[in-house]
Amino acid sequence: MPETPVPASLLTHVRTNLEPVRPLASPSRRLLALVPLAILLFFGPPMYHHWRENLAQLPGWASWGMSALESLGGMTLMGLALRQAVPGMTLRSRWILLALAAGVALFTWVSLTTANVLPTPPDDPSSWKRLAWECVIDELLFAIPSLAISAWLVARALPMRPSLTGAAYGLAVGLMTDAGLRLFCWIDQPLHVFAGHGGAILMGTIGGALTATLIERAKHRSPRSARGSI
Amino acid sequence: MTELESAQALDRLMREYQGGSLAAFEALYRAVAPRVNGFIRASVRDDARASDLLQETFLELHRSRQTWLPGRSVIGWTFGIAQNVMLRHRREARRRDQHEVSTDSSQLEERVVPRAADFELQPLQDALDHLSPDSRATWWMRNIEGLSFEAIALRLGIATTAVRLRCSRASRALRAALEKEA
Repeated sequence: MPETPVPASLLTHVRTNLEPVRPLASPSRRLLALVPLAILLFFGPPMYHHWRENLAQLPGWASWGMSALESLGGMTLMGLALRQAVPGMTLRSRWILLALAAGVALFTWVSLTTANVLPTPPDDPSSWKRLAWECVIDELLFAIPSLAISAWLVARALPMRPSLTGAAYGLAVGLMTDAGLRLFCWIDQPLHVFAGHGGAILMGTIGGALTATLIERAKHRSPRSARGSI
Repeated sequence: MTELESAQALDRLMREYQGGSLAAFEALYRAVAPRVNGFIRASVRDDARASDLLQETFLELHRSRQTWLPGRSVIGWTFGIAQNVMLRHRREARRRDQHEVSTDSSQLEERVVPRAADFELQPLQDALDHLSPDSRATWWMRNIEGLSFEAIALRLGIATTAVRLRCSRASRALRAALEKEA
């Protein structure tokens, strides 16, 4: 192997910032650490408010089963985002886009299936906008802290395409929160679900993409980063 | 040194480097820099820029040294960081290009008239740009560095069959891109 000398400036930089570091845990182990968060998002909304009034009328597979599936889909996307942030483990953009599309398809399928099993419109059809907005706020209240935790976990690594990685964890948090919210929100009318719940998921996805992009830009601009002591 | 020993040596060096050893960093640089340089030069023609990118890759590698997971391929991780740095540079250049309008005619001419030396390699470099980082690295190690499939598999920490498949797909994609260009 040919001898390549280390440039003096690089060596000086490394020498001045050479404190020992602990390697990150693997993406799967970090994902396991997020299981309590997924459980909290699953049971949080119905326990904070109340369980949906028509829960008993819904078959188990359509209530608990669909929610569990949505939560699992969210966890899978989260695992993908954590993996995507580790150099050398990244997937091609088209696979990430495909996974994002699968996440959206899962939400659509769960919502339409539930609406088919038990079509429940709001009591007062004219208030659909207010109810949808309430669901957006509710979902975001639970999603934002989880989004912050996910952003922190991803920012500790080095995502190659921050916007895609951020969109993946944003959508993941959105799905996991919706899994819980649909056990509280009794309205299954597609208009409400897509405007309220889907709107919140969309905001989470865009929020994740923006957060990850801004964090990466800030990381590479900050004087702390220039000193190499992240 | 066999490939297995080399991979094990890199693994050991990386662990020592994460533990704070400067000597390990120097040894790692000497072992890895030529390959990273080759990887960067597969996409970047300009010598000065390639050299800057190499240095920046190692700065980023140092900043992100905690992201190497023990037991994983050091080469694959380093190439991942190099790819990240190149992508970031490309994005920044694109952003700069959108904001800057050059008024210097000599600079414009330099941009418009390609250098004669670039002619021959240009189509190949363009075609290589379209490959994924993994495929490009695998193709590069096989066809430019001349490594065996087994050696590449050891370096990247993947199965030999996967290396063969990647090489074959990359060659097919390159051939298609070059034929389209012609």
